[in-house]
Amino acid sequence: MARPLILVTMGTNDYPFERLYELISREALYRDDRCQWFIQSGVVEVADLPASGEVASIVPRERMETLIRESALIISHCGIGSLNLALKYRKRTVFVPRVCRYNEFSDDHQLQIAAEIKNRRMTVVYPDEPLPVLDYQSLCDEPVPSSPVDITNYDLARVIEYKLTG
Amino acid sequence: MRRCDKLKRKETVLVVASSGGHLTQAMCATSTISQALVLVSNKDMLNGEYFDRVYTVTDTQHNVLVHCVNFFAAIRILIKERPMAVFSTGGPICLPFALVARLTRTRFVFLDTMSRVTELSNSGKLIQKLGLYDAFLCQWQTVADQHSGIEYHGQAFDLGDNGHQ
Repeated sequence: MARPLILVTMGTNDYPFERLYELISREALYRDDRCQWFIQSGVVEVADLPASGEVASIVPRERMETLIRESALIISHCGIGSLNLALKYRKRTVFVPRVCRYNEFSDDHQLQIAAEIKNRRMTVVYPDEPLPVLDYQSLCDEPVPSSPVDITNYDLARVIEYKLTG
Repeated sequence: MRRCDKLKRKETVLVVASSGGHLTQAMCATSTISQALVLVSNKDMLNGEYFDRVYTVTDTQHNVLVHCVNFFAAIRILIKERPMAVFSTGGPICLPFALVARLTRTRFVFLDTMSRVTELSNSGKLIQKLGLYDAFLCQWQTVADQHSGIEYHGQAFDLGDNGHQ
């Protein structure tokens, strides 16, 4: 049986996010080679590697979409790009919003969008909260949908098209 | 506004969007456009998909010097591409392009990012304050209600459950 993939995404901006790295490295499954980790680390230096997996500072969009598709769980900053892909591939996701007070972004807009996430398969971990305890068996049981759902709002796209091209 | 005919505009829309979520929203919002799409971003992570060409500029929020360099990059790109319109979802790399679009009388349409639920983004505030747009849309009704001239037509993608179990 393939090892369940846990995908961690920290986004493409230049702000640090050591807090998320510290949260994941405290998980027991971080030391368990039955799980595979992929950490898109941005500017964060990942000194202590997971038992199994790889780290890349940035990942081309196509590769990121493949990783999302194959993952059993996503742990992510609360960026719109990650939210879009998690919804598109119907993934169980834990969002950890970046906050201004820890210099993780210039403001707290990730908290604003986090408050709008109503999806039952998505969890938000607010500052000073721990990550939920990850369970190996539940990751193995996680369905891995291969085809994406089209979540584009074509009504808005047609309005934009009209405004741009008349 | 009358457009400058001397530019002989092409059937091209120039899209200005920072990598990540801004770009995701730009791709959703331009998904029905049949004209050629040319992207300006701070990183080229697309492997040639979706856009006909990609230009990269340096990302910054507050560095005036970098914005100045990007201003001249914007002039160069708009002269070279001669787009019929410029579209942006932010971030701050859009500011010089909004200014050059205004100076060259190129239609500029701005969609403020979905992540700003209660107020406009900093780039959006500046574009709105300086009137650097022909159309300005935001993705939350509460934000649109705070500003005259800003339209709300929904969000770039559906935030609902989408078949999640």
